[in-house]
Amino acid sequence: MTGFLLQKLGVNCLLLVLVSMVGFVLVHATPGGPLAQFALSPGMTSARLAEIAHGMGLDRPLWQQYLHWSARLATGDWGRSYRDQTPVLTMIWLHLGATAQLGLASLILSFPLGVALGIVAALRAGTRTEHLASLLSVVLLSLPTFWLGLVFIYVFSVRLGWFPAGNLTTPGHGAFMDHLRHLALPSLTLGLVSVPLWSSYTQAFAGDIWRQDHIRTARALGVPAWRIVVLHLLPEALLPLIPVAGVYLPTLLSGALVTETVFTWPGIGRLLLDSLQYRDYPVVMGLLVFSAALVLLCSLVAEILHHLCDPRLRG
Amino acid sequence: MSGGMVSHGVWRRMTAGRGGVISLLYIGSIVFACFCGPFLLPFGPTSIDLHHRFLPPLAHGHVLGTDEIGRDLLARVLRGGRVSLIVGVVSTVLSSLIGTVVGIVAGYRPGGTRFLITTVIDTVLCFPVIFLLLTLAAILHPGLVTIVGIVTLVSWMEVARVAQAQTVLVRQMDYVTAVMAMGAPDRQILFREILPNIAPAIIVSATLNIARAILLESYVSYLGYGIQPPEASWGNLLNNAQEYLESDPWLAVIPGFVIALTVAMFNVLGAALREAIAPGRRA
Amino acid sequence: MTAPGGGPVLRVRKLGVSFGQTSLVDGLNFDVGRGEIVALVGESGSGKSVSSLAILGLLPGADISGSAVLHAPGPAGDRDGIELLGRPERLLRPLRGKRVSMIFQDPMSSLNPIRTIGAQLREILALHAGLDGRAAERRAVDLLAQVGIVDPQGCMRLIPQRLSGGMRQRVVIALAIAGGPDLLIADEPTTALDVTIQAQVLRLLLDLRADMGMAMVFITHNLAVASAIADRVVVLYAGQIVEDAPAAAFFAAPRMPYSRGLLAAAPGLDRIASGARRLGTLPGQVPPPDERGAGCRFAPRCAWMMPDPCARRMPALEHVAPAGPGGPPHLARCARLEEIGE
Ligand SMILES: Nc1ncnc2c1ncn2[C@@H]1O[C@H](COP(=O)(O)OP(=O)(O)OP(=O)(O)O)[C@@H](O)[C@H]1O
Ligand code: SF4
Ligand SMILES: [Mg+2]
Repeated sequence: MTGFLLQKLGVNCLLLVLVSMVGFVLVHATPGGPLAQFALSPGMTSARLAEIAHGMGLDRPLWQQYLHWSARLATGDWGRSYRDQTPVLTMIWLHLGATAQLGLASLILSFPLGVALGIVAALRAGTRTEHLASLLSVVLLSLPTFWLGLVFIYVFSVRLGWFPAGNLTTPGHGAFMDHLRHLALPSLTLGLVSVPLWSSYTQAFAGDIWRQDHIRTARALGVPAWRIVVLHLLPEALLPLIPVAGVYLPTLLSGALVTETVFTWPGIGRLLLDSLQYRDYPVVMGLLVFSAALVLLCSLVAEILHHLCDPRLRG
Repeated sequence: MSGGMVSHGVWRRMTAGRGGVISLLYIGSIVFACFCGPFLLPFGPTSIDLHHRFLPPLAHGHVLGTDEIGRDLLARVLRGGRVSLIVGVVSTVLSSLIGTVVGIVAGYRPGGTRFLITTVIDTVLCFPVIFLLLTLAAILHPGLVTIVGIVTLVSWMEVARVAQAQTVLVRQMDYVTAVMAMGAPDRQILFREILPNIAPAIIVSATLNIARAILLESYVSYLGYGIQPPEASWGNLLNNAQEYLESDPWLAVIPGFVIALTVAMFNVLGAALREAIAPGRRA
Repeated sequence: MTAPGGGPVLRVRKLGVSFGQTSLVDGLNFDVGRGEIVALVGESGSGKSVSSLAILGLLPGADISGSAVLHAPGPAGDRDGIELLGRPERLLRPLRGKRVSMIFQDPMSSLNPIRTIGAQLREILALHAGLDGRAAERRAVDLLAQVGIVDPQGCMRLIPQRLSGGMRQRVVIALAIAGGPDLLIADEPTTALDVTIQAQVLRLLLDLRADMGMAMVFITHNLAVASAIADRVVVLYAGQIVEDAPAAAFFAAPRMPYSRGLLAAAPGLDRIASGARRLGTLPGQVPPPDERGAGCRFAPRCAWMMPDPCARRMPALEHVAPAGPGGPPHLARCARLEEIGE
C-alpha cells in the first residue's frame, strides 16, 4: 500500500510542476502578456512600461521568470493582485469559504440522491424502473447549469418568493437562517446537475455486486432484503466510489463557477471570472494552480481513504 | 461477418429501441431547422425592430416572441443552433481524431512514449474544465474558430484514454500477436486489426462528446467569452436574459430548453449506440 | 444408509420452471427423506440449479408450477407441511437459513468480501437463533470449530480474502447450518475445490448429517462425488428426471441408457475424481430447452434408440422390475427398459 501511495505522490509532484508550467505559459503567452493591464492605463509611455517590466522581471528570459515565480510559489508567496495589491493566496482564501459551502451543500443533496438512484436502477435492471432512472439521469446530465439556475430563480424567487435569488446574505438580516435561505437555490442547482455522476457509477458498481454469489447466498440464508441492500450491497458499492469521488469532486469547481455566476455567489469561480475581466493575471495564474493542486490533493486523499476503508486493501 | 453486416446489425438494434429512433428523428429535425429554417422565416436573426421589443411568444407572427431589441427569438434560436451544432460536431470530430491518434500511439508504444502521453493527459485533466476553457477564451480572440479550438483542446483526452485501453486490449489478442510475430507491417496491423476494433467504442464516445461540447460552448458563451453578439449562439442568447427574468422569462426559458433537449438527445443517441454495439453491457 | 423413520423432509411434485415460452424443467417428482442425502446429477444445463433455486423462491422472473412441501420436524403439529412454491416472500424468507439452507459452488465469491467472518456468522445467528452479544460470539466460535476450522477465534476477525478456498467453503457451511436447518441444498459445493479438499468437505458434510440429522440435496456433475456421499441418486436430463434410485442399486446397475453412459464414461469411482472424470464426456450434447422433441429427450444420443417407441412419445418414469415390496423404489424413464435389461 505505502509503495503504491508513494508512487502516486511522486506522480502528483511531477504533475504539480507541469501544471504550474502550463499556468505560467498560458498567462505569459497572452497578447501583451502580463503588461497588457498597465498598457491600458491613461498616459502610459513605453519608457514607463519598460520600467515596470524591469521591475517585474519581465525582461529576463522566460525560464528564469518561471523559476523565480515557482520558487516563490513554493514558499507561499503567490504574488499580488493587480487590482488592489492583495496577496493572491489571501484572495483565494477569502473566496474559498463560499465555494466550500456551496460544494458541501450540493454534495449533501446530490450524493444520497445519486447513490439511491443508482442502487434502484441496479436492483431493478431491465425493468421500467431502471429505464425511468436512466431517463432521469440523462435529463439531469443534459441540463445547462445556468439555465436550471435561471429557472429556479424564476420559479422559487420571482414567482413564489420563497428563496432569495442571489448573494450570500440579505444586508441587515445577516442571521444563520437567512444565510441558509440564500444557499438553497444555488446548492439545489449544483446538486441536481451532479446527481448523474454519482448515480451512473453507483449503478455500475452495485449492478456488478448484485449479481455476485454472496448476495445470493445471503438471500438463500434468509437475510431480509433490506438488510442485504443496506448492510451488504451499499457498503461494498460505496467503497469504489471513494476514488471516483476523489477524481470528480474537484470537477464540481466547474459547475460551481457557473452557479456562482448565476447566483452572484462570491466564490472562487466568480473570482476567476472577475480576474479574467480585469486581466488580473497573478490571480488567474494562482487560481489555475490552486484548482489543479486541489484536484491532485483530492485524488490522493481519496486514494488513502480508500485504502484505509477497504479491508481488502489493508495489511 | 463482414463490416457491412455488423453495422447493419447495429443499425437494426439501435432503431429497435425507442431512444434510438426518437433521438435520431429529433437530431435530424433540429439540424434541418437550424440550417434551413432561417431561410424560411420572415425575420432575420439580427434584424432589430424597436417597435416590437419583448413580444411574448405567438405575438405579431413572432412564434417565440422577440428580445430586448425586437429581434425574433425563433430566428435567433435557429441561428444560434447552427453555431452550437457546428461547434459541437467539428470540435468532436477534431478531438476524436486527435484522441484516436494519441491513444493508439500510447497503446502501441509502451514505455517512454506512453508515459509522456499519459502525463500530458493527466496534466490537462488536472484543471477544472471550465476554468481552463475560460482562461483560454479570455486570452485568445473570441470567435467561432477559437471556441472550436479550445473545446477540442479540453475534450480529446477522454477519447485518447478509450483508444489507448482498446489498443492495448487488441494487441494482446492471440491472433494479433500471431500476425505481429509473422512480421506484418505496423500499418497493416493498425488498419486491419486495431482501427476496426476500437472504432465502435470511439463512435460511442464521440456521440456523447457532441453533447458535452454543445454544453461547454453554451457555458463559455453564456459567461461572455464565447461567440460574441450580435452573432447568436445557444449560450449567449441567455447572456442578458437574467436581467429580464422577472418580466420576460421566456427569453431565458426557451433557448435553455432547446439546449437541454438537444444535449439530452445526443446523450440518448450515445446510450442507444452503446447498447446496440455491445448489447447488455452497461457503463 | 437408509433414511431414518418419518415422512420426507421435502416432497417435490410436478415441479415445472419456465421463463416465458421456454420450459426449463418439467414434471419433477422426488422426495428427500429425513437425514437422507440425495444427489442430483446431470450434465450442465440439465436444470439442477434452476430447480433448487425455484424451490427456495430465489428465481425472480420465472414461472414456477407444481408443489414443494417442507415437513417440519417434531411429532406434533404441521402434519400437512409447508408449501414453498407460491409462498409469499414475507413468509418464505424466515424459512431460509432456518429450515432450509442453500449454498453455492464458488466459495471465493459466496462470502461477503468486506465483512469479517464473525460479523457474517453473528448476523445469521441473530436472525435465526435469536442470539447476540456474548452468546452469539460463543456459538459462532463453536460453529467454526464444528466445521473444522483450526483457529476459530482468530478466524472470526478475518475477512474471507485471508482464507483458502476450502476454509471459505467450511465457513459457508457454518453459515448454512447456523440456523439448524432440516435440509441443506448444496449446489456443487466441492466443484471449485482441489481433490483433497473436496474429500475433506464431503467428510465434513457426512459428519454434519450424522450429528444433526440434516437432510441434503447435493447437486453435482461428478459421479464419484455422488457415490461418495449419496444415499439416493436422481439423474436429471434436459429438464426431466430420467432415473431415481438408491445409490447402491444405481452404481451397481443403472437402468436408463443415459445413466449407463454416464457411469461408463466415469471410471474410477473408488476415488473422488476431478476434471476429466466429470459428466459430459458422453458424445453429443444436451438439447437446449427450446429444441426438445415430443419423444424421449435422450433419443438423439441413445445407442438403443428405436424410432418406434422412443421418438413417438415421452416414456414415463416407471418402477424398474422387480421392485421389492417396501424396499426403496428404483425408477427409470425409458421405453425399452425391458428389452435392454440389466
Ligand atoms: N434466469 C434464466 N433465464 C432464462 N434461462 C435460464 C435462466 N437461468 C438458467 N437458465 C437456463 O436454464 C437451463 C438450466 O440451467 P441450470 O443452471 O439449472 O443448469 P445446471 O444443471 O445447474 O447446469 P450447471 O451444471 O452448468 O450448473 C439452462 O439452459 C440455462 O441456460
Ligand atoms: S426411450 Fe429409447 S431413446 Fe430414450 S433412453 Fe430409452 S431406449 Fe434410449
Ligand atoms: Mg448449476
